[in-house]
Amino acid sequence: MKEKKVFDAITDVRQEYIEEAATTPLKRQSIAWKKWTAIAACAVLMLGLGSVALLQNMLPLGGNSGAGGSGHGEGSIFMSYAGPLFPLTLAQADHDISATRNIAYDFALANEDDLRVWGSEVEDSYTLYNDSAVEKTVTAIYPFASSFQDLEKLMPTVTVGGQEIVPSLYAGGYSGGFAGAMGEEQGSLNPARLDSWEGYKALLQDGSYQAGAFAKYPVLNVPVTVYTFTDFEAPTEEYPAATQAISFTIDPNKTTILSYGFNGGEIGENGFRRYSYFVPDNIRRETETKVLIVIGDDIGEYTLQGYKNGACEDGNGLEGVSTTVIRSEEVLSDVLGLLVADFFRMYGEDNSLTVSQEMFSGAVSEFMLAYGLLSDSGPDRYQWGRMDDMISEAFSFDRVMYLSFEVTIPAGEAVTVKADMHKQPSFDFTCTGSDNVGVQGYDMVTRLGSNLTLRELTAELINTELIEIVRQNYGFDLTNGIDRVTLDPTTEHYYFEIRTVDRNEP
Amino acid sequence: MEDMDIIALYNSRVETAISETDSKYGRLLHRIAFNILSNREDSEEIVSDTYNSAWNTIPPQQPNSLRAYLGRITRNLSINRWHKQRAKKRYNGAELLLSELTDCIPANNNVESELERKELALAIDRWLSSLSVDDRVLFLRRYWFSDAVNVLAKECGTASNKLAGRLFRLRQSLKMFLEKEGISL
Repeated sequence: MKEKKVFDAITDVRQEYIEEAATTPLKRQSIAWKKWTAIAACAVLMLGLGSVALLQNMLPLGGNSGAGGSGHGEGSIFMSYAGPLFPLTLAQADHDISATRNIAYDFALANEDDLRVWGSEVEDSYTLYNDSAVEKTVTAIYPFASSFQDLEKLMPTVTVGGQEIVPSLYAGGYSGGFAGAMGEEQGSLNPARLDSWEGYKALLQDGSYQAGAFAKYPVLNVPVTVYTFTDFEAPTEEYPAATQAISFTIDPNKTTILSYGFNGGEIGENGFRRYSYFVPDNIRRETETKVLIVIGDDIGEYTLQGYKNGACEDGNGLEGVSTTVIRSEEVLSDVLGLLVADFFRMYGEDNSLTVSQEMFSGAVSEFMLAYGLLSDSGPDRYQWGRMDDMISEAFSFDRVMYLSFEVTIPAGEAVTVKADMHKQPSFDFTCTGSDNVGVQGYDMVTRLGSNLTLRELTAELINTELIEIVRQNYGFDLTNGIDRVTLDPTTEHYYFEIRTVDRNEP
Repeated sequence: MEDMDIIALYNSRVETAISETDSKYGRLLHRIAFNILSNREDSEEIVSDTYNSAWNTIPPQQPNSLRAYLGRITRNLSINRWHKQRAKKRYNGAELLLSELTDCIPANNNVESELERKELALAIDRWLSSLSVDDRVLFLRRYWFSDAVNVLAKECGTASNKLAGRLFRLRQSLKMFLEKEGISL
């Protein structure tokens, strides 16, 4: 086989070439920006605030409402998939440590005046056995699906030996991907969140995702030139959508622009760029921080122009629109910290950070490197370089998070570890009229990502008066009083789906 | 962790060398093996064997590029596994790659002796050095890392058939180069 000789010989090519191939991204043949430049030579692409929201199916701090979904194994196909319960694991596999696990789903009403059940309180309980003759201190890791936005609601409380502890939190990267505007595989304008447990399996099974979650966040030590806009003036009483625009020309191969607080943009021929914002009027709920961040060659001369509204075109100019532009040289990570702080000051309210700003800024940095203009092959979604989008979506996009804590188990003894949490259901949106409207799905994986040997796996349902099971592979039989089952730890995935029964009015 | 720190762990015979290697390169090595074998269990075994081989060879080996060193081991082990078991298992990954590489076989039949693997690798090196960086990276991503055409096409922002055409031209270029150098296989 002559071709095998070539195949073998290629193995031995110079290691510099292997390094080069491993670290050099392939040049994109035609990226969207270039395509737009070529096809729509003089076309104006306005990104008005409303159109951005429509185009990207999101608003600042948007949740999962746009997420498509599908089921898992033999379970239903749900439009919003909450992700499975994951098993506890150890930072280092230890053959002397084994466990029993019991998962209890409690369907009691959360509040006295609730009419029906929504979600479940879950106690994921482990008894860890130390079969060796010496005391062992192990680092345990408990994974769970959440976003930074939902963290306060979904983060488990951990007890070890009956004592509540404060574990360390680590966040993996965005767990999903991107798809076309209508969900098709081609394109990358919309997020494509994980929609099945198999998706999580693909994400987690080789261990690299978890390793990435425990790695240090990147620091964006990139020198940047920052243009900050202040002292806004415009006749906003007469023109409530008065717009300030800045235009300049760049060499796209040498300059990358990130924006924050801007509402519109235009890409023209020969590197022409225009960015615009509605002049703050103290009425519109929008940040007054307006910043352009220039990476690479500076933008040089620029032109400021006022307009009556977001249509930045001839004949629509407006006198009396002005701003002060301050140029400064900074480091990107410092600027990012300021923007993250501004973002939460502006849009936080009920969405405040439950982690340190330092941690979240690190997650945004990681997100930018993976998907933003700092990425070599970022999705179309972020090709405008809108920092507002990247901060918002680093906050709201789903991830797998990890709680890490130490457990000491005396020789030949056992210690109980419990993770108590609220678990959101998987569900179909009511307005769709699907057959599964009103059905809540819950699932769990038994081994995925875990190096812990399970001796026994059980599950139980508590306070089941207001639910009925419609599909499952657990083996519960509520009508005959079977609400506790022993499961097979080698079965990868278990699911059950319920309908709720409305509580009788008192 | 930097490569030199990981190699220092190997030199000190500290077993965390393996876990650090796995953290840094496990995914890449799994990708290399899986792209050739298209079988997850076999790929996991190959990656595990790679760590074993690294443990047994460092020291005395002190690779300049740990990535290339480990990658070569994984690639060799994967090709060997494929070769031994191809009768029993169908490994789609390597079969496809090999069928593509038939385009590179020079037509020379009148050369006195066939090249050894090392010499052929040096010839391929010379051909690679004549390419643009992007073509070189593309060729190695396909035929060293065995990345799928659709994955590479997506990364390039182009259609799979267009990228396949570009790869075909590269294979033809290699064939012509080998013929020009009077190389026979």
